[in-house]
Amino acid sequence: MIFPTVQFALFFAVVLPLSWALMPRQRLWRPFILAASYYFYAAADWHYVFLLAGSTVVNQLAATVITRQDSEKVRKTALITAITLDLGTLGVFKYLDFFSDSVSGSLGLSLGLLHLVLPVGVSFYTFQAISYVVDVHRGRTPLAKPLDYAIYASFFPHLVAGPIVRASEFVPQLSGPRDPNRIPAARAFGLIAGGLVKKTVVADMIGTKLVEPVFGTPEAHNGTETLMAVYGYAVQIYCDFSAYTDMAIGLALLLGFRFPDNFDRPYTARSLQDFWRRWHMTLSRWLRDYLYIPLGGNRGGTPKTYRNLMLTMLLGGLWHGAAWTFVIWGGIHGVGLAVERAWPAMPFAIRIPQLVKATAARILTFHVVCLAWVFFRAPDLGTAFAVLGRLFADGPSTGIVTPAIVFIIAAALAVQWIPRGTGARLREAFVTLPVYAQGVSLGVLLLVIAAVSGGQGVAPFIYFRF
Amino acid sequence: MSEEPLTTARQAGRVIRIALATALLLNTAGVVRAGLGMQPGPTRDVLLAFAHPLDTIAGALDLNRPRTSLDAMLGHPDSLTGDGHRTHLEQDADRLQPVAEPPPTTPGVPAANTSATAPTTDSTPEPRLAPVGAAVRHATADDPLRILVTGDSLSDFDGLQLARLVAADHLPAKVRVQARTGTGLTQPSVFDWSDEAAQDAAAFDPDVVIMVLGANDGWPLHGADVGSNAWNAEYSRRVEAVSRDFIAGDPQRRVYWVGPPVPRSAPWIHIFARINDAVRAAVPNVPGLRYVDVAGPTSDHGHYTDYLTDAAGHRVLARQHDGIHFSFPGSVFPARIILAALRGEYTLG
Repeated sequence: MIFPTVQFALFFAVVLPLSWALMPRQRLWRPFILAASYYFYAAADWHYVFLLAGSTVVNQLAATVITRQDSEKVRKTALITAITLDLGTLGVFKYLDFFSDSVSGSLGLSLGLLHLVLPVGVSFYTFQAISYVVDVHRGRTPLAKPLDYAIYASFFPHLVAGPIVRASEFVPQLSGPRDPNRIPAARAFGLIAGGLVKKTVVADMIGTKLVEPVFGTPEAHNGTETLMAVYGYAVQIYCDFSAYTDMAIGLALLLGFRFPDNFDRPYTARSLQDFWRRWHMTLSRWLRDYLYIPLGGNRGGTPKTYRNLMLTMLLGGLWHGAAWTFVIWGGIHGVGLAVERAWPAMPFAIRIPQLVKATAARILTFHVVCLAWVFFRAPDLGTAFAVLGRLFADGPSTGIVTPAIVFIIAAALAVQWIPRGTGARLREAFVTLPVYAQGVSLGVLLLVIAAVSGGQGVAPFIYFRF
Repeated sequence: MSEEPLTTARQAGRVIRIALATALLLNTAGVVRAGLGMQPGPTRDVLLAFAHPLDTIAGALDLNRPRTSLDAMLGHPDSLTGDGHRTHLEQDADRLQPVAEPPPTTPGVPAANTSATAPTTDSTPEPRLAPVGAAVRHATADDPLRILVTGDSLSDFDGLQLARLVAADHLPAKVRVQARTGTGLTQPSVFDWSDEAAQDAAAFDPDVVIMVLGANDGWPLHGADVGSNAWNAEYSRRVEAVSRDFIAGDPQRRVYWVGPPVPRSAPWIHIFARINDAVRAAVPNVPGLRYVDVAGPTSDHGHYTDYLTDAAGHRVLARQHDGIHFSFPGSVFPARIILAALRGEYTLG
């Protein structure tokens, strides 16, 4: 079940009023929201409900041992066991067949494949589970009640594709009934409607009409089309992924819960470091707190800092999938971050006027990010290099770069430069409308979105694969 | 707390109800269609139980007009076809002569190929060859062959790999790939391939249509169980109808219908084998329709295999996790089969 479908609309139309009706009776609300979340997850594939439940039990057990045992040795053993099982699960589902295939290919063996379908959302809830047991071990978050932890692990708005919410952000919100009189509904509607538009109007259209043809057959397209497809993919992946997390945040708000933001106008970034503070922010901080800093962060001198940066980005790349394209994607970001860190110390670093510097930095950052996206998008290295090679190719146009496509790409990038207060002013204006006008205007927007998608349904979200 | 404008959960719920009611009333045909596309189950039943009468009322009150106007404006004519009336595919199929129910093949063992495939050693009797359409035109570098690869998700990678082969060999052909993911012939209320074929023929004027379909066709047809002889006969008529819709107006146009590969698991092994039977049975009835068998050549003696060996002797992981689709590298195998079939009819250098 994905958000922009009739099935989900029906599901949410039932769950939302029931959730608020039961909210004052927490003993009923907790099992209800847990059951609703498991139902949501089972709609994708009921078999993997057991995996989610198993992960919940294992990590809560580990957190309990960590909290209740005095012996550091026992606490550490519980922590390592939980992390090993978490990562083992990821390894089995994401990497085992890749490993088996690689070994078979290089050694001429026939190891066979497990053919496991990647459970939807496994990366996201596994990362949340790891952050929970680690934070409990570090003493940064208290042991949650079992039912609270189960709700946190499975809460349906964030279950499938994030944002990666920490226990310390979510579990305290379960301490009592949410206040039904303090719902930022206008913000929620804005996030959900904006997400729908980003997904169906922008991401799916650019993906189908521009990106897929060029990345499918780079040889058939000239430099202009290839460049537009590279820019187009930057817009597509942003609109696709941020659409999902925007909707997740909006749905949670309607249920009375707050999630951290996951995107903050990433293509306005002035550096790669700035980009990672704006892109998939909940993953960035996860990688920082549970990988980069435990590796030593910047505490071991310059060489080790660069090593840790590279390792973090390479592993971040591999998290997306077992393929060299993802490794190179992470590598480009790792090298870029290292260069940025080294730049001020370089003897040839030039002094440039601030305005020029800022503009050039933004343009350069955007293009480095786009370069990395080529590897992220391409199905294999050969295609990635073919796309890059076609950037300077002559040849006739195939007509895929239409004014409408150019307009959508330009508009999607330009929107990131709209001043921050604009959204708040729109929301303030929206809430001054009578209730029926708010409802009708949202209903008409839904109709337009349905018409734009042309009855084709919604393409799967890109990040469901991860 | 933030300075966000706040409201009550009750009021938010009211806005949502009004929004959903508005969207529903103005888009009942779309909701019916979405319901028909769902997997069978209580959610689908409940949705359709409400959506059908609403659609009737909305139709009588002309409430669907905003949606149809939007569709026309956006170039999506006929995107809404509720099941209150027969779809174009069903109407087109109804106009055709009933076909003989094709004999079933053994599940997992592909039947013999027909005119457009590489030879196999299978002993199934050779069916009649397709009637020959008008002579095909000669493709040149200045006037390349226009190839449209379409169908369901199976068509996507096949088409992309075919385009790569064409580009790598500098063949006088232009390949356009347009996958309609999640579609098939068994649910025309959800996606009507007759409409799509007519639109594609008009929009792209292809010389050749490569149709790769079957991954979503596990649905009964007119009450006939999936894979039964009656089901197969109706499926075959629909193949014929869609092929005729593609070819209409251009007797030089060819449709190369690519059957699905051998899948890993039941019930798809049986269903895909029957779909291949049905396509093969339609071939004799349509001048210009060709059947391309990828199931046999990409199987291990008729059985599913993950790996295939390429011409250089390298083992390639050819299938995806689902045991149905080809992987991207593996799609080169069906693409080569398709290209070989095209070379049998066209001079491509």
